[in-house]
Amino acid sequence: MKKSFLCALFFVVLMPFSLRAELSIDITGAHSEPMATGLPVFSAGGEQAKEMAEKISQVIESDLESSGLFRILDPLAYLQTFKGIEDAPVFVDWQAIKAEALIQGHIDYLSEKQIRVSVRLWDVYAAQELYSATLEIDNKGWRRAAHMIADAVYKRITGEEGYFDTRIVYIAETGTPLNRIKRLAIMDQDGENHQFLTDGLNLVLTPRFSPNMQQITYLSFYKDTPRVYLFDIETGKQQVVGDFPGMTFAPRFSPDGHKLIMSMAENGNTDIFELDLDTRAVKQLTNSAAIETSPSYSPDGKKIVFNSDRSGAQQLYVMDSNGKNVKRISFGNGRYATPVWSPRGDYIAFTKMAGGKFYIGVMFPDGKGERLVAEGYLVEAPTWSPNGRILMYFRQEPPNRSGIPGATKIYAVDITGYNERRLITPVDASDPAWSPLLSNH
Amino acid sequence: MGLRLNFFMRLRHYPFLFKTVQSAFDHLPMVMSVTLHAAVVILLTCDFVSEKKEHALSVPVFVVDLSKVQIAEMTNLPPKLMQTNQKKKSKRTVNTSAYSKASSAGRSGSSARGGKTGKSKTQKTAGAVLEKELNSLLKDITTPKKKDKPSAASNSIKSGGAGAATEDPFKTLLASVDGIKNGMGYADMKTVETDPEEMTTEGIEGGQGGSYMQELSVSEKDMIGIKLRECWNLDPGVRGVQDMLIEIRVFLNREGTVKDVKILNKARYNKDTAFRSVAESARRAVYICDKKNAESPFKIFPEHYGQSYDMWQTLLLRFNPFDGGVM
Repeated sequence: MKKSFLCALFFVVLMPFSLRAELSIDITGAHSEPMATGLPVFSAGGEQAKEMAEKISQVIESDLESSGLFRILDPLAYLQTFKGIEDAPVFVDWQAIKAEALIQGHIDYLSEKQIRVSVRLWDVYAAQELYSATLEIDNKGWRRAAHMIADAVYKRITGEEGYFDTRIVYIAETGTPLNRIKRLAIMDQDGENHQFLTDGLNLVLTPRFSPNMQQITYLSFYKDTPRVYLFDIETGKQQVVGDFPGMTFAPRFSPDGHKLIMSMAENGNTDIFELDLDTRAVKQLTNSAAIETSPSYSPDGKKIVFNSDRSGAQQLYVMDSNGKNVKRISFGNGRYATPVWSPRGDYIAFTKMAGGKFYIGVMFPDGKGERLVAEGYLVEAPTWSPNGRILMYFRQEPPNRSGIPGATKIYAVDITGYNERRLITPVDASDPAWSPLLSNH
Repeated sequence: MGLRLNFFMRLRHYPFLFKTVQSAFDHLPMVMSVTLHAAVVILLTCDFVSEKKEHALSVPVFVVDLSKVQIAEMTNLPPKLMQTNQKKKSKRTVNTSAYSKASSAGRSGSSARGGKTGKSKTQKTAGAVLEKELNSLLKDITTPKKKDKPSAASNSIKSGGAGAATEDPFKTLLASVDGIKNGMGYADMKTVETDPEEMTTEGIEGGQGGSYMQELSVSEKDMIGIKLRECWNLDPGVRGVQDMLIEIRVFLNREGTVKDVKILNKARYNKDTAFRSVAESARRAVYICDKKNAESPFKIFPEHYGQSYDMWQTLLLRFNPFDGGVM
């Protein structure tokens, strides 16, 4: 009996080895380069639509290439032309020019002012359709339609929300170094549709979008007193936030848009306060002799990151949204400032000052994995794209021999540290803030 | 037989060695297995050399019951040719394959029995003759046990030496299992009676007689992995990419081209768009590599292992984005 059991056990143990095992191979690591993408000019139903098709195709191409994740192939290399959205791709033709993805589109005019945009996204090597959609819009909104299509392509390929249908608010700087005029300005993320929001009579700083896109909060010096203001984009009205005894600055909205968090300086001490925008109730979150400022909520609203010099040097700290459980997260050399929690929650961006230079960097919320993605004479004020993938900041060049400060410009860089590019603005620009995705509102 | 007894008698002169070995056997089966095998092979070699002058045969460490079966030639011949040979010889064969591909060339019967290893036909023939002689010599030894358990005797390996007579056979079996687990090459210590029709998948071609996994060398697997890595264009900024492992099953045609590609992590694929993005990039890598024609990593299979298609018609690819870094 015992031997029978042992024999049975033996065969059970050996059974897996006697079965044929599938050959398995591990592939560790990859290479990274922009995805080769075919984007023939959208086909069109008529001459009028043809012109629109060219404009929309151009904006989509510009959006995708600016992300650094796509490389639109030279149209001269294309072996296939599409006459309509129903034309099936000849995949071998696109494989021949090493296109990994293919964007096919078609434009029709439904009426004098109404256009229909149809688009299909293909995986060339898998010969699969990845995405298709049809938009019917007013022809004046063609640029937004192009951004939305680019967002859809971006999302389908990368798995994350796009950021092309967004706007940037920033501080437009003009005038001489001694008489600097700073105004609020707003534009599309690609620099189009630029407009100034304030007249420049009062100095403005640190603008921030509300999550609902309707308001901007910022710091303004009115009668030489810094105050936090709210600006309504639709009406152009601005109002001071709360009646605080000291000066208030560094405002930022909570993720739900119902609260405002900011710093207030009084009697030489700076702490962090929370203002309920519905009830106007104020709550003090920190209470120490140190300077504590630049608060930023985590995307779920449960945590707040801020910087404080309570340890002797300016470092980053994380606390619960009620002000408890304060924990230091930065321990590197130098000083850390202007922390901003990523919208996707995985990183905290910051400005770092060390060795006579400024850096823009990211770290995990627990303080690990610090990585610097930009450096310069002065780089500051990072802001996240709504998908948490791109960081925008401003850079100032060193002063010239006469001591005149260098120009300030806005730059964007991928969180991997690649694809740094300058955002074209009509005047010097600083303190950018990225809006949420417009199509989500 | 006399020689074999002579060997065991010699071993009895080393009680300390036996105790040490038995102790290791109790506590460390794997170590014991390796140590014992090595020691016995050395002793056998010495024994063989000393007895060679008397034109005597050496005694194997593990004795396979060959009384009812014939020995299949362990060869690199293609299976169909093997099959032809087998049909001429016998309808019943035994697979004494005990080693992986690395030693398969030198595994021609004689190698497992203390003789010289080699690939030449002469040596294989000599090995087969040697086994037959051994078989007849050892009949008397194995017969009593076979009478007790005839079916088990024909499918088992019996440890030689006096010590083995008192040893728990289950321990020996466990030691063999350990050896297999640790890739020691003892993948098929059993004597298996094989139908001639199944010979197409025997021996070097993988199948029941051996594992194809052991046929493909580490460097060949590395080469395939490196080529696929070169085809894999990955966005390193994807959310959570550091925690992703993409498993893909590739179905190959006989000519080494890709028939189909399936992403296996379906649940996460359908739920996590970032994962889907990375998984699709891995799938794309397979197709891109496939389109490289002669440079395709899969061409190695029809070129070097054309006869064992059943073993490489599907592959499991595990794409790990960050272990190797992103170039």
